[in-house]
Amino acid sequence: MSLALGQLLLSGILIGGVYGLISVGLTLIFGVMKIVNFAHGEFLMMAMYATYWLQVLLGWDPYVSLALVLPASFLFGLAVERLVIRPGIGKPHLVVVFATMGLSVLLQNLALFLWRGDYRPVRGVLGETTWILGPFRMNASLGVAFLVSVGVTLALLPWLRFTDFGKALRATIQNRQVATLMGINVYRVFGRTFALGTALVGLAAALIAPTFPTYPSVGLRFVILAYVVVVLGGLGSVPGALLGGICIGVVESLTGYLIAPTLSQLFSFLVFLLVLVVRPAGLLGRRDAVLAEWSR
Amino acid sequence: MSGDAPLLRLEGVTVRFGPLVANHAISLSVRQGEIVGLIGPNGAGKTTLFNVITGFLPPEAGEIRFAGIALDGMRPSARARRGLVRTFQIAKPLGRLSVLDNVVAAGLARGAGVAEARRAAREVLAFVGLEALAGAWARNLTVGQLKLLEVARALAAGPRLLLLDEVMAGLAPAEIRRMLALIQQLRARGISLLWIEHVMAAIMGAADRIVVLHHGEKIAEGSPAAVARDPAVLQAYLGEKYHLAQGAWA
Amino acid sequence: MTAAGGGGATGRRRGWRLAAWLAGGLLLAAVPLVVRNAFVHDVMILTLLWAAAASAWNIAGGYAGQISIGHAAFFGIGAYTSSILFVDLGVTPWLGMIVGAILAALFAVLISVVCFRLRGPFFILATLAFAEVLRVLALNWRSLTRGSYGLEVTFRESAANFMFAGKRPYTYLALLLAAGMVALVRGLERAPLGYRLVATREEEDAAEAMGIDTFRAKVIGMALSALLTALAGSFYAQYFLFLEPGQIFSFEVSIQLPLICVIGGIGTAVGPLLGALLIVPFSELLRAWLGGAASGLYLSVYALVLILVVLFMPDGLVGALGRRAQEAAA
Repeated sequence: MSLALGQLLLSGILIGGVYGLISVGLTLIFGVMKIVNFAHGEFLMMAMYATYWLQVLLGWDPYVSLALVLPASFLFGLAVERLVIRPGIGKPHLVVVFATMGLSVLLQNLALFLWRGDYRPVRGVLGETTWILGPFRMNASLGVAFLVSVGVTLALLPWLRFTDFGKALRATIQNRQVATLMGINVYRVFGRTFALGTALVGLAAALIAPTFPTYPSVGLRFVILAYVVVVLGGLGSVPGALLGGICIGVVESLTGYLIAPTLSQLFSFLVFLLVLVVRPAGLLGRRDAVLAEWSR
Repeated sequence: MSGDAPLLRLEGVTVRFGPLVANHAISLSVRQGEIVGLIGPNGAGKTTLFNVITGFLPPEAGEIRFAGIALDGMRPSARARRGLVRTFQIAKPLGRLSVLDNVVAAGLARGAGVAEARRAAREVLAFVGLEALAGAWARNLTVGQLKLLEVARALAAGPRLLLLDEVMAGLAPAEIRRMLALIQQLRARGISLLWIEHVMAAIMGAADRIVVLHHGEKIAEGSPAAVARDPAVLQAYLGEKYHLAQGAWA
Repeated sequence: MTAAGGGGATGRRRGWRLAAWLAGGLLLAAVPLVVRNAFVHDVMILTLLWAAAASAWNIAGGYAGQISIGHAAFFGIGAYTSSILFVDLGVTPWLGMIVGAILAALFAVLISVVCFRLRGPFFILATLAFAEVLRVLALNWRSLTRGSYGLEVTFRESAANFMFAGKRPYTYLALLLAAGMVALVRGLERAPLGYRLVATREEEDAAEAMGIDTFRAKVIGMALSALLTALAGSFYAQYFLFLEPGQIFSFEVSIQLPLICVIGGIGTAVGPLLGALLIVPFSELLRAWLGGAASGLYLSVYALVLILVVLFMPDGLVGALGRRAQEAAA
C-alpha cells in the first residue's frame, strides 16, 4: 500500500514542479501589476502548439524548439502587455478581467478554428524512458520537467535579489509610486515582467509537451490549477509558487487515485476556497495583497 | 447623559503597523460643543488616529468611547450611524453620481426615504454653497468644491461629532475663509468637531483646544495660545527659533 | 439617481422617453402575432431571456460592483431545482421556480460571506471556483441531477405546468420577464438600496463613513441578483426541457451575462436589454450560418468584440450614446 502511495506522491511532486513553474510567472505578474491574467493558460496552449508544429513541420525535438519558442513567448508577452493590458491599467478591475478573459476565449477559439479539437501528441527524445528512484519509477520526461522547473525557479531567486531588473521588479511589487519616484520606469517593468511570465510558460510548454498532448482548451486545465497554486503559495512569492505547486500536484495525484479522477479538480477548487477563507496570505505571502484594507 | 462626560474619549490608544508604532498610548477627549484641533508634523499619526476612531483600523491597545459607549469592534458604518462621522483627507466623491446624489446617499443611511433625503440634501448643499452644482458629476469638481462636498456629505449623515481631515488642504485663501465660516456655523448648529489641519492660522484661531502629535505621541495639549508657546511643539515643527503668528484668519 | 450624466430629465424629455418605451414594447409584443417563423421566435425568446438574466447579473456586477463570473451557478440552481421538483415530485414549476430562487439567494449569501473580504480579482476568481464546484457536483450527483445523461423535463402541456404547445405564450412570458427585470432595476436605482449599492461600488470607504453597511449592501445585492438569475434559469428549463450540467453550469453562461452588460452599458437599467438585442440575434444567426464547421470562429469574433469594447468603450452603448446626447444638448 505504501508503495503505491509513495508512487502517487512522487508523480504528484513531479507534476507539481511544473505547476510551480507555470505559476511563478503568474504570481510575479500579479505582484507587479496587480492584475489577474485570465489568458495565462492560453499562452501555455499556444506555446505547446508551437512546439507541436515545429516537430511536425521541421522534425524538431521539444527541447530543441525551445530556442525559438522561448524568445517568441517573451516577445508575444511584450506585445500582449502593450496592446491588451496597458490600456486597462488604472481603470476598474473589470476592464483587465474582461480583456484577458476575452483574449483567453479568442485564443482558444482561434486554435479550435485553425487546428480542430484533436489531441496533438508530441514525441520527446526521451520517449518512453523510465527512471528508477529506489522502489519508484517515473517518466523521464516528467523527471526532466521537474528538475528544470525547480532549477529555473530557484535560479530566479538570486536573479531577483541581485540584478538591477530584479530589484526594480521587487521595488515595483512593494510600492509602485515610490518605485516611480526612485527613477524606475514602472511601465517597462510591467512589460518585461509580463513577458517574463509568458516566457516561463513557454518553457513549461516545451517541458510538458512529451507528457501531455495539446488541444485548444489544454490551457484551462493548467491555469485553474495555477491560480490555486498562486493563492496557496502567496501572491508575489516565487518560492511560494514552487511550494504551492508541489502541494497541489500532490493533492491532485492523491485525490485522483484515492477518491475519483473526475473529482480531483473539485478538490483543487476546494483547496482554493479554503485557503482564501482560512489563510488568504497563503503559505508565504502577504495578507494585504489579497484582502481589502480593513477587513471585517 | 451628564454634561460632564465627554462626547468622545480615547484612553491609551496604540496602533502599530508591524514594527512601526503609529499611535502610542494616545488619550484625548472631545466635549460636547467643542472644537478640538489636532496638529502635528507630517507622519505624526493624525490620520491614523482618525482611522482608529472611526473604525477603519483596529487599535492594538486602548479604549475608545463615544457618548459613553465603547466602540470596540464596531464597524465604521455603525459608528457613523451613531453620529461619529468623518471626512477624508483625499476627497472620495462618488464619482459617477451627481453632487446631489452624493449627499442623498449620505442622508439615506439614516433610514430616511429618498424624497426626504433629497429635500434634506438640497438644504445641505445650499448651506455649504454648492447648490448651483447639484446636477454636476461629482468627478468633475475642483479640489475646493470636492472638499465642500466632503463636508456636505458628512453633514447629511447627521453627525454629533464630525472628524475633519485637512479640509483646507489645497484651497485658495478665499476658499479657506469660506470653509472657516462653515466650520464655525457647524459649531453653532451644535456639532462638535475634531479637526486635523495644517493651515495653522485658521485652526489656531477657531479651535477651543489643541492637541499636538509628534512621531505617534501626544506632546502637548491646551489652549491655542499655550500650545503656540510650548517649546516641545516649536521644536517638533520648526526647530528652536520661531514664533507662530496668531489670528490672521480669525 | 442618474447613473450617467448629471441633471434629471425635464418633463418634456421624460414624456418622450416614456413614449419611446411604450412604442418599443408594443412593437416587440406585436412580433409574435405577426411573425410565424419558429427561428425568429426562438431568437426572440433567447434574447429576452438573456436580457433578463443579464439584468439580474447587472444588479451585482454593475450596481454593486461585485463582478462575478460564476453566475451560471445561480442560473443552474434555478433550472435544476424547478425541474427536479417537477419531474420527481410533481411540483408545479411556478412554485419550483420560487424555491430555486430562494436556494440561489442562500447560496449567494454563502459566497458573499466567504468571499467579501477579497480584493477585486480574487473575488472574481472565487465566484468562478464556486460555479465550478457546483458543476462538478451536478455532474457527479447522478441520482439527483441525472449527471451527464441529462435531465429531461417531461412535457405535459398545461399552463399550471408552465408548458405550452406553441411558442407564442413563451414569447410573451419572456417579454414579461425581461420587462419586469428592467422595471425592477429602474425602481432599484431610485430606492435607498440602489443608492447604497452604488455608493459601495464607487467608494467603499466613503460609503462606510457615511453610515452605509457595505457588507450588508454587497450581500443583499448578490442575493437579489442570484434570486433573479435563478428565475431566468427556471424559465430556460421550461422552454428547452433538457438540462445538462456541462451546458447549464458552464463558463459560457457565466461569461454571456457580463458580456451583454458590458456591451450594452454596465450599471444601467436598459444596458442589458440593448446588449442582448445586439448580441443574441447576431450570435444565433452566426451560429446558424457557420454552424459546426467554423465553430471556433464565431466565438473568436465574440471575444474580439468583448476585448475591443471593454478597452475602448467601457461604458458600453448606453455610455457612448449618453455622451453623444449630452454633447448634442450642450
